[in-house]
Amino acid sequence: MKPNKQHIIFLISFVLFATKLSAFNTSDSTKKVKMPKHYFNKTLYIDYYSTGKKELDTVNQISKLLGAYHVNQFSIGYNFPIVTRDIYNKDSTKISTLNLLLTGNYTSLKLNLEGITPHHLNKFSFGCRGFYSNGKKSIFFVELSPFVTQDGSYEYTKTYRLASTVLYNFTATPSFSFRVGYTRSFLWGNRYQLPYVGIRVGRLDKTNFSVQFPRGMTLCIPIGKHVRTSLYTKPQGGLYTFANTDSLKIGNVNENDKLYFGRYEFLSGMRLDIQPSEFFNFYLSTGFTTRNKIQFYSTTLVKDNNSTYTNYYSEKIGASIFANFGLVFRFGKTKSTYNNSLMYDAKDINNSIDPGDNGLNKGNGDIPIPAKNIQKVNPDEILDLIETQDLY
Amino acid sequence: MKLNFKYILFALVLMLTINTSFAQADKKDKIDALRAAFISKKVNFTASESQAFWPLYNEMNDKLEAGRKTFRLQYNAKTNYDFATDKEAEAYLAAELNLKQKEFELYREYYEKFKKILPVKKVSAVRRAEDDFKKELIKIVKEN
Repeated sequence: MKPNKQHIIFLISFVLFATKLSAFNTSDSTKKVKMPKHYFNKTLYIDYYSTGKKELDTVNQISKLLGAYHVNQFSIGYNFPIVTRDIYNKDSTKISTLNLLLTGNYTSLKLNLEGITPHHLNKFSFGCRGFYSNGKKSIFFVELSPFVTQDGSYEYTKTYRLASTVLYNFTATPSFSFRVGYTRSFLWGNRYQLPYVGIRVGRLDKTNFSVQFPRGMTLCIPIGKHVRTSLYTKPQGGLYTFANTDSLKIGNVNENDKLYFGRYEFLSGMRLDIQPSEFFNFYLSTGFTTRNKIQFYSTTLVKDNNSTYTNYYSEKIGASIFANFGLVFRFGKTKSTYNNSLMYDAKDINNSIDPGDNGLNKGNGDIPIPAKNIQKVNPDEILDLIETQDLY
Repeated sequence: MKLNFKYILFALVLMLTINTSFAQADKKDKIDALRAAFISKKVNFTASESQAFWPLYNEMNDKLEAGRKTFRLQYNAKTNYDFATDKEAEAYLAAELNLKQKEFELYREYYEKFKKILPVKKVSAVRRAEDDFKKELIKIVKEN
């Protein structure tokens, strides 16, 4: 694939990010150690997702031409904090915080339609997100995630879009929180503006059940200190631009050189999150995709207002299996957030709402699962904690 | 089945990363997580007390740790505390006293804050739990 402007921007921003990381590694014995600045780690993640092949309906002419369908999706992205402000009340007993993060994502969807040549539908996103936690029970979250979609190297298919989310999270107790808000999302293969409503029961660092419409539903059960298992159901999809190089005649329209392509799968499956340390976690997931749908929209006939698009071709596809795995790397030291349920909720929002609106979930690897008991301790590790008089 | 070189390379990188990640797991974080769990178990916080207490307690520990780490960067086992001149030895003693003084001031400042959000009995229970945690650690080190 020929590199284009978006690839270069993504690479430059990534190099800047990486360079900043290396600056943290300098060791100078005379310098004063500064307190970590941020509550969020710099995060880099890689995700791969693939569905099984399904034959399309043979009655519809377009479906007959397309043959069979499956997708492979590769995603790489990052988010890193740029501003963190702690704001105190008069007696300094409440810490409200303001956190701003930059986000970036590149996703390549290989669309395999057996009857035509495969298409690589690319999506680049650069955005930002902000959290304001009032230090009591509330978090306000705003995300702007502008992105551009393009089919392979066909420049004329470039289309700019904006995904966004505004949320209010209320952490009533460490074991219960609810969220309300608004989201402008393309996850369902179309342009939707939806209310966001969610509740969670159970602590985020222990067993919990969470329903977050329209993002999904999860039952998460930690096993030991390093593994989280979950049963979940969630939508995964997107709206892309498609170069009509195969001259698909959509309805009565065949003059389009580009089309909008929308897809979604409804995933139901099991996921295993392994977190050897707070700096790295990876996940493996599999299950079934149900209620799958693909759609084509004519770009000349859709009206460019804020409503949803009307499709000219849609096909419901039968259930298939899917596989998903990902790696998440977290860099740099952060301010401690042990048992800080409000910051746990902020981290959960940051991990479950992915930059670029691809429906990915990085997993809560930065929320430690509490240890039940202490098994082994090295004397060096506790040197600072022990005074000589503690020994008698 | 034909094995793809790319997948083998990927698996190797993955294994290496996991291995490195385990090795680099920060000691301080391990102890902090254990201490947080221990104190939570010992002190019966209400939900709102817990929400108010932990951000402050974490902040205090971050400040204590930053001071200790600065000190450790300059004076550690590698330097062997083998000072060439009296002046260097004097500087070491002064730095240590300075560290202790700062720690004392931090404890004083934060205990006052804790008293504003927790009943005094619970603040003392936190202090007691910190001591019990140390004893627990000493016991485990002895057993090891």
